[in-house]
Amino acid sequence: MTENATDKRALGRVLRASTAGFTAGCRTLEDDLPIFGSLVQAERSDGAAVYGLIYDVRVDDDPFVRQLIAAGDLSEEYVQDQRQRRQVPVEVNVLVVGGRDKAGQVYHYLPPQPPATLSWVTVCQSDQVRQFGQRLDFLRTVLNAADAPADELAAASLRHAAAAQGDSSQAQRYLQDAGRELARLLSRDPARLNGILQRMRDRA
Amino acid sequence: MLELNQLTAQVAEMAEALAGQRASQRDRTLRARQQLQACGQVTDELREKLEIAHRVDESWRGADPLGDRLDEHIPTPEQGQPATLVASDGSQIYPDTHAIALYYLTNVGTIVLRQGSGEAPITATAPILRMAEDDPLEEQDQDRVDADEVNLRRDLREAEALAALARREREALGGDMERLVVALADGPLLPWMPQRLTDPEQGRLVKRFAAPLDDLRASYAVPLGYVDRPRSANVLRLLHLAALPVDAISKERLRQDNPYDGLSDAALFQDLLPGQRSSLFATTSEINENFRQLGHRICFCYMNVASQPGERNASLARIEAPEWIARDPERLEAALAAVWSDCRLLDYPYLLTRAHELALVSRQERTSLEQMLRTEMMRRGLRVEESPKANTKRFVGGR
Repeated sequence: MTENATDKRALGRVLRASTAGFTAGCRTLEDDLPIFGSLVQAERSDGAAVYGLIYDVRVDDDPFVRQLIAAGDLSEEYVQDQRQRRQVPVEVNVLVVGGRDKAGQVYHYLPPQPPATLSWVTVCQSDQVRQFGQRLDFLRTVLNAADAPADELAAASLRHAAAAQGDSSQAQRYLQDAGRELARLLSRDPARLNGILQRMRDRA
Repeated sequence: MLELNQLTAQVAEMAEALAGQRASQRDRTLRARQQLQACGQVTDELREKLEIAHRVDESWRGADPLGDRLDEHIPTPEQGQPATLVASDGSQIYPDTHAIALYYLTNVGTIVLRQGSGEAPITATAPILRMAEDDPLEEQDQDRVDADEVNLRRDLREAEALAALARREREALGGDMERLVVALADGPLLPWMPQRLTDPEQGRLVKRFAAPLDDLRASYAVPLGYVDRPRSANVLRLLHLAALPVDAISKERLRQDNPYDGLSDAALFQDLLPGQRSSLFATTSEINENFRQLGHRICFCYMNVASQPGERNASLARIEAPEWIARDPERLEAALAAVWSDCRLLDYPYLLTRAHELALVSRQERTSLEQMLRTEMMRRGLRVEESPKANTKRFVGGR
């Protein structure tokens, strides 16, 4: 998976969900671990989808794994067995920020229904990230998120959206627009605003 | 409910009794070890005593030494060449007359690990669901299948799965007979058989259990049965026999006067160092005689598979192998080395841990299975009812 998420790839399936967020379970390999701040979608069979941002990735453990870690040297076959064959899922927590209706119309408010259990969750392609990021209304949802590290998530999601814009000057322009929107939303909290702007610049 | 306050005194009493028992066991184990050393050499006299024991008590479950000594501590070599390890394990749901239908299930988990490949092992599970009476899918007429019968069917499926895996692995090697293929069974190679079986029934079953061993031999695989925490005492019975005068050997003396009663061979061999194994023996049971007639007399040794030295850390396993492996030292040592290497992480075979995990049917999975069954039965217009007892158990249980 690349940082600008050019491939449409299945991440996993929905384990549990509410209208404000969902958790996907996946069996991913080392190189494919989901990326913080990526835009993903939980798809419905009628073409609609719920959009969200990855804000937490948990790799579960169990007593078996702990025992192996304590044992020290592991040959590759054992490592691959634990990673690929054992049903210890990687849990990906997603903050819902909008969606797409059956007609393909993108919206930036909470969906009327949560995604169904076992719906496929895929990483959005660049054009979808671009389309969704055209409006910055989702930033308010992110900044108000109680369970997610809101400031980090806002900065990371904007960096991903900027990277999907095409060339670097478009990316720069996108980040400037986003910065203005953040300044508007956080006009009463300049310290927080500065923190987010700093994080956006760090890797822009 | 369990009123724990009523048990305080009983728990203390039991702990006291256990402490006394431990102390007595320690003393008697030391005496047994001394005797093992004292009669370490297999003499003609001991052979004669073994013959008499067989004669006076056909079902005497002692140990027949394969070599010249009883007291060897043989180190397992470091593993040389990488091997392919295959393992299977099974689990079951027993028929329950209070359930919505009288069914049973056996599930076999299998795993193939190709050492040195760097690849994830190949894993699989194979569940079979059957009615416990009048199953139209069964070829033979059958009485109601009970828990013993389910155990037998599960054990047989485990053995057959192991043979099939080894065959497939040998084929995948394209006829390469050099690479060691170890087929590791969870538990003894000698199957447990219910007492109620008639001789012809037992004979038929032994044939069915021997068939996978024929297959494994044809695949040039090494079958090993791995018994964790073995409680058997075949070698201790042999020590008891060795101490009896020839003319005093009788069924009663063999069964009653054993000074090592209540001890296990595992305690006797607890002083094996990591990787060491005991001498090889064959079980002297009737079933093993049947296996011998089919070319697969089952032999065993004890091995300390722990990675840390010290009796407290020792992890004793009883390892069973057919005689055609027990008398092939090169392949036996190589297979033991591969198993010991697989034990390094957990002081127990990693492969068996995984096969068990694959086979296991959780309570939640059982509930889901019964839900599936309930739905399908209702679609066919059947009344679906658990017994009142099962129903009440559901709402008073699970606390």
